[in-house]
Amino acid sequence: MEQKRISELLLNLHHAITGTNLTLNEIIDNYTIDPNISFVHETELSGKVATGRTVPIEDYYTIEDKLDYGPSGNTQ
Amino acid sequence: MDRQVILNKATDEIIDYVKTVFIIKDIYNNINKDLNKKLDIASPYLNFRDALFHYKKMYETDDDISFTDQLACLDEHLNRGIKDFVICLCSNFYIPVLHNMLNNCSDNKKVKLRNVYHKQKNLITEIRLGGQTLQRFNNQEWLARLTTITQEIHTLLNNDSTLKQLYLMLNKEKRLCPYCGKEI
Repeated sequence: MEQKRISELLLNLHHAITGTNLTLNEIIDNYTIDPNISFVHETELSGKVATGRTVPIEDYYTIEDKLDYGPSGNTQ
Repeated sequence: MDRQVILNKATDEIIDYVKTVFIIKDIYNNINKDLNKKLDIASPYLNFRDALFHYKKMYETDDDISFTDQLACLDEHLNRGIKDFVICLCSNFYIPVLHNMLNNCSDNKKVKLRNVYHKQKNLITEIRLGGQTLQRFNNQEWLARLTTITQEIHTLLNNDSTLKQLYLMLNKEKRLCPYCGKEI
C-alpha cells in the first residue's frame, strides 16, 4: 500500500513522456471533460445524448424507456 | 492494528490512486494530441471500481480474516490498474513503434534503438512472468525503471532529428491491433 509514492513515480513518467514539468495539482486542475461526450448506456436506453458532467439519471430515463429495454430484452 | 486505522489508510490509498488515474489520462491525452492517436485504457477505472467493492466489504465484515482478505484484494486491484496501464502503454505504443523504427533506419542508428527497445521488452516480460508466478509486485521498482527507459527513448529522439522524423512518420501510419482489429 504505497499509492502516494506510485503517483510520484507516475508523475516522473508523465514528465518523461510529455516533456512538461507539471505538478499533480496542475494536471488535475487542467483536466476537462469533453462537453460533447456521449454516454453510451444513456444513448442506448433513451436515444438521448448526455451533454453535461453530472446529470441526474432520472432526467434521462423515463419509465417507458426502462420498460422498453428491460433486463429481459423484451419490448412492451 | 485497529480496524478503523486500517480503513483510514485504505481510504488514503484510494484517494491517491484516483490522482494517479488523472496522470494516466493526461499521459494518453498528450500522446493522442501530439500524434493524433486514439490510445486509452479502461483497466485503471475498472480496478478502481473493483477496489471500492472490496473497500465496502471491509466495512461489512465482522471476521478478521475476511477483513484482511479484502484489504489484500483492494491492494491488488490498485496495483493491477497501474500495472495494466504500463503494459498497455509499452505493448501497444512504444514497443511496436520502436520495432517499426528498427526496420526502417540505418544500421548505425539501430544499435541505440535496439538497446532501449530490448530494455522495454525485458521489463514487460518481467512484469508478465511475475504475474504468472504469482509474485507480489513492487510497482515502485519497475515504475522507476520504466521512467528511466522512457527518458532514454525521448532523449534519443530529441537528439537525433532523423530518428524523430521517423518516429513521427511511423506514428501517423495506421496500425491495427492483431487481436481485435481496431486501429491502435
